[in-house]
Amino acid sequence: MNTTIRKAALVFDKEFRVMRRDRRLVIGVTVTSLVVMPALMGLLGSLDRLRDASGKPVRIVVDTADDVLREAVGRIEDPVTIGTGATESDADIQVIHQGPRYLIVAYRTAPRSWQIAQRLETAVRAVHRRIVADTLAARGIPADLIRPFTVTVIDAADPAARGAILLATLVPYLVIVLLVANAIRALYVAVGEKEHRTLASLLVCAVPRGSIVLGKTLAILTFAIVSSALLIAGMLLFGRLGFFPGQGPADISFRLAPVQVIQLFVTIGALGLAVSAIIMVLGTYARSRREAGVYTSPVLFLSIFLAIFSFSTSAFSLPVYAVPFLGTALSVRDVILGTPAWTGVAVSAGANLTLFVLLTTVTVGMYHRETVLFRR
Amino acid sequence: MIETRDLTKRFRSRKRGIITAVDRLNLRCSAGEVYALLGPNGAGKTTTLRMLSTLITPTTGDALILGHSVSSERAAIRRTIGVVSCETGVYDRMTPREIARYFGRLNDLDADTLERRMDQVFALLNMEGFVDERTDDFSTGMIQKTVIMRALLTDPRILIFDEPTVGLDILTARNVLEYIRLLKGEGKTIVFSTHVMREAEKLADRIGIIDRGRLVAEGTLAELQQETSRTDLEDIFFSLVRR
Repeated sequence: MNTTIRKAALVFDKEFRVMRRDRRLVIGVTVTSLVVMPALMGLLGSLDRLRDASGKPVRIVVDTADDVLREAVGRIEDPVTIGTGATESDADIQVIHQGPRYLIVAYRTAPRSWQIAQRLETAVRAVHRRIVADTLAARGIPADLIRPFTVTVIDAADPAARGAILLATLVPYLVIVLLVANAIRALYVAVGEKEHRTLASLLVCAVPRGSIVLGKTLAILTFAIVSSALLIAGMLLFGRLGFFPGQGPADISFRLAPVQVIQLFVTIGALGLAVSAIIMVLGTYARSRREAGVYTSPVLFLSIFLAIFSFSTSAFSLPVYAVPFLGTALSVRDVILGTPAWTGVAVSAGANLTLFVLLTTVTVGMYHRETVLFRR
Repeated sequence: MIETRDLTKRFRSRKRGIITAVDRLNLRCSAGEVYALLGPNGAGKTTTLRMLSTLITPTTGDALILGHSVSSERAAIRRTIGVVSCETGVYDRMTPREIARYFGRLNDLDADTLERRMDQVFALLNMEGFVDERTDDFSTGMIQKTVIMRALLTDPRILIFDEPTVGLDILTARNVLEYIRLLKGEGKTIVFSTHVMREAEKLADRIGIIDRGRLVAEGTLAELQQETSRTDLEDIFFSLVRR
């Protein structure tokens, strides 16, 4: 066992050194982490701000401009223009006054107009309540007769909890997708021996096949985790420097308790091992990086699809946590939200570790199969 | 030292069905001998040497290297052999010294022995000028030297060369043959495959001619000449190989 681990460490050391010397890989990771991703995030925020600042006012056209509508439009904070008379071709919202009814016509396909239409509806209702209250008051009847009580929902969450909700949806998705994408970038570790025709000389060494597989898998894992961490660090750094508009990480006062850190470490570490084992098994089977790329693309798509479930706020039954990627997304979400998470963490980490052991065993088996090693 | 007993290897091909690459091969190579496995392309030379190198397993039969079976005692064999193939490459982004250290440690050489062997092999192969340069821009000759260095590092008693001069320019090929001669002088047992008659003629103590997976003749050059009543190895070869 000691020999296997010692030699796995040698293989790991060599693979990681070669990766560090791959200038394209290092520049790719650095530039992506510290320039491209933060810039993209910044750009997205800027576009959002730009849309708010320069967005054309929504045009509301009413057939009869009565006091109710004038007051209701005045209550809307968003920039709107109001026109009267016949139907205008550039109207975003049409308001038709039919006796006691106001019909607000808007297009749901135009989200901003639809949003304003809904606010207009609320504003018209508010004017209605005000008129009723005034009429009753004029007749000496207290207004609260028709409105004996009010209901208000108050957000009691502190900024940390609000930050947690934001992070709980975003972080699991980012972590999973980044881990998979970066592990795929390290495909060379798995397929490089075949591409460079160095496999035979490695196989005739006094080294257990398990050491080769383990060393390479850990090299992929380390690269995936380091480059993903670098990317997240880059995004946080730019957030703190104020490059992110709106509610960026700088605005989120969020802290993890030590137990949450441990839970995240266990969950993400187990997923990292499973992902590295997937890349290793596919890379070992493939004859070239190009062929391996064909096999790994579906893995990336699958991970993106399953990680999306982290955006869901629903509770899932425990067996769902055993689904790779999906279980991790839900576990990370739970940990960040501070909901009781150990069971979910145990199930998802257990499933990923089982997958890791299973795939590593398959890869070691492949390293004994000449039909795989010398496949033409 | 090396003995094959009805060594057979069959492959399954989707297009061609079952292919018998090596068919009940029986050859013997004694200690300190240079044995040339001569045959046309597709004769089964590489498959035979891959079985002797423990890279692939015989379908039936067996081969013994220093008394160890290639089927069941691979680990023991791997400690005694060095393998060089025309198809072997080297790691890029590493220097020959780093490659040597990597393979030396994988083969359980202790630090002192490894450093001593590295110095010896670098000197033997005239590699001192480029041992600390990365292999990325190496010429074919430099790569071939690095490949041979890697095989010699553990000071193996047996060396297996699979078509070591294929694809090399004439100067590099000549150097490689010189190294084989040099290693023969050091008492190594060498098995090499080739389809170049002259290489076999110049280097080999004994020659095995293989065709369609079967050993059609084996012996010293004199024995083969006597057996076929021909003097030139090329004539001997064509008289034995069915085309």
